[in-house]
Amino acid sequence: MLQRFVEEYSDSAFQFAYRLCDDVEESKELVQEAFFRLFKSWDRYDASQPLEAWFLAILRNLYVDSVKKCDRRNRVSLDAPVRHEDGEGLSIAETMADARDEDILEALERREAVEQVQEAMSSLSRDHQAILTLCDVEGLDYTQIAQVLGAPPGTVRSRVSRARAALKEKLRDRTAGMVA
Amino acid sequence: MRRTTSVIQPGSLLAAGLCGAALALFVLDPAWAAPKKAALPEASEVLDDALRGPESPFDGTVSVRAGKGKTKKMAVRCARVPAGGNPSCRREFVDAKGASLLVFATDGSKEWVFDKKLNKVWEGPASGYPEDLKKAVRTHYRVSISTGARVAGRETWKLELKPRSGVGVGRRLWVDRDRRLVLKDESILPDGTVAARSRFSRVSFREDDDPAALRLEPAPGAVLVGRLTPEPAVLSKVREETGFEPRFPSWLPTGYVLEGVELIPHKDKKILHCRYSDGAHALSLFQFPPRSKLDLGTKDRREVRLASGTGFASWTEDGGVLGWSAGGTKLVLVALLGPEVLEHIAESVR
Amino acid sequence: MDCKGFEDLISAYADGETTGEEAQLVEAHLKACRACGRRLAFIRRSKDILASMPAPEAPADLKAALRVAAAQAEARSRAEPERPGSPSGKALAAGALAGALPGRAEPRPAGPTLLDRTSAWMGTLSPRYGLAFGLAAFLLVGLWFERRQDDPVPIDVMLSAHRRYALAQPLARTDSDPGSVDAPADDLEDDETDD
Repeated sequence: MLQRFVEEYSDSAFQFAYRLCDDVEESKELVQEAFFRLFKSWDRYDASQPLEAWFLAILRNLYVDSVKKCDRRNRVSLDAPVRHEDGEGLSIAETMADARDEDILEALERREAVEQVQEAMSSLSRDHQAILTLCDVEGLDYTQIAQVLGAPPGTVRSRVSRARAALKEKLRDRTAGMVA
Repeated sequence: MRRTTSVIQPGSLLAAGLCGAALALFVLDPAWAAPKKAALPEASEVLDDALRGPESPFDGTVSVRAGKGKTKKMAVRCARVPAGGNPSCRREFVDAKGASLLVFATDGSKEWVFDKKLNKVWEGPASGYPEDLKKAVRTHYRVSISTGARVAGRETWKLELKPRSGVGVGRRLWVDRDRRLVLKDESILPDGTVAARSRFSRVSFREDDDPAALRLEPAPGAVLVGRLTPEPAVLSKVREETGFEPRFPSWLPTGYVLEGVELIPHKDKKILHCRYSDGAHALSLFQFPPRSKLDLGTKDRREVRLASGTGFASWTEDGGVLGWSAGGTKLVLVALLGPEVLEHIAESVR
Repeated sequence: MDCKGFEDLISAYADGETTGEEAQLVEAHLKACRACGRRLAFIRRSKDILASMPAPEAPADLKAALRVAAAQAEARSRAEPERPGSPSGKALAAGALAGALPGRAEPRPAGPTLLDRTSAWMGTLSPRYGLAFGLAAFLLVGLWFERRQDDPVPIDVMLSAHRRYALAQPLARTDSDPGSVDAPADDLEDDETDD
């Protein structure tokens, strides 16, 4: 049962940790600790629960530990400048950028879309990467996301929305150079 | 009168109604008040006529929503020469500015799809509507008929085709009562969702067309490619990248052509994705390296008996799914097509 | 048209996380607002791409360590209580277990010779886990988890590839070709209902 759990979820767990830490060695340690902690008390877990419930616990551990342990490395949050937080700047950016939404969509339809999105993702803030990974890569619902982040359920919606807006901005910067 | 055939296209009026059999033609006067409860004709008779398509040429405006895309409105001109049993037929779809979007043409033994924008012509054997597929429609669906709402100002019969197995795409057709053209068309998933829809908002029939109207005219320098199989260069690249010999269907519903292939990396494998389309609806054929295991999900799965062995059919909001293995290769079809069509395609894979 | 209030709603709508009422609100707005339609298309598209992105595999040494730990934890819960006649079992539990959970307990390793060999073999691991892991692997060779045959390919990989393709159809694309007319959605509704 635990071995099956490892086979099914270790890749996803590592991926999530890597999004949080951006460092292979640190991610490995985080993942190992999270799993070991689970294994230590696994007989206390309800075996009738689907493995996914355990996976959520792992994700929660990773998220909490990464806050304490990952080297922040003075990363400047380039994707979340003040103007995005207060909403006013957003409407100006939106109206100006509207005309280029189609360029982004078109760029996404090309073969290189996956690399573009991957790159854009990697340049997002840790929190934005985390939430997009949980929502779109792992396919968790808002309730589960709230569990992992330890956030009030009502805030998940706007967090996801802001992360997507940030991703779009990143892609916009990339496509600006690509579209004639 | 020589009978010609056409194929029913779930959610697509693009390629349906290619050629017609003899029908008693009379002009329906819209001002004539039909009795409220008209006597219902035989469902199977109307279905056959709908599948064959109208005899006369027509013009119309049609709106298409394929899957999750937006609704597109186009003008369509269908050229036919009814007299003399000529199976040739040409249908052109044109946008609001008069620019040609797609042209479908057949002479009964070959069929072509011409994309003016790309200046590309796909050529291949005419798909027609094989006898065994026609029989399969009876086996796969419960067909019922009722009076339908007016569509494009015309009186209709409403046909409902529900898969007997409960697995796979069903159909609702609103058929013009006298010309038997499918005026509105819905593809329905087992949970009742309308997955795709097409509708004429305007239609007018002509009596006759000049045979010259049937010509297919690609611009000079048009690229001609096979309808169903890729070019040799693409084929060898696929072999190289995937390490296995890819297979292709030798039959697809009228109007579908191979647009391209892509390789999807998945863990340490490469999955081959062959992409077919009739201009609005996508059909995907996936192939996997030998000894691959597939997880098709357990929702509403049904076993399917194919010549090559047992397959599994299920459905999703993207349409019907059919998975099977043939000669060691595992294949999966995904399309908004009825279960009988998916099976027919699977059987044709060589 | 005030779209500011719709950004979060549309995002939630794309995730299927709106109430029935909210969904109706969104759909009504989308009928008239192209900008928001594009926004929704972008979200759906990026969701598909993210969902089908090839996942980086966890490093082999990490997986190996996890497998070992999993096997031990399961073995531990199945293990008989200590009996005089099974010294090897005892050594297994004590040495190996500790080996896989560094930092939790400080056991004595089985012997220097053994350790040197295994640690040299496991040279690629970081020092903190290398020795312990090597020992554990050596002792547990009988319980080693067999590398699974190809993991099943889930249907979602195929469905998202298909969906991505379906959305790129010329007649289904949500960004328009110049000249083709995007019919409002209610163009497909009947004037009347069937009898």
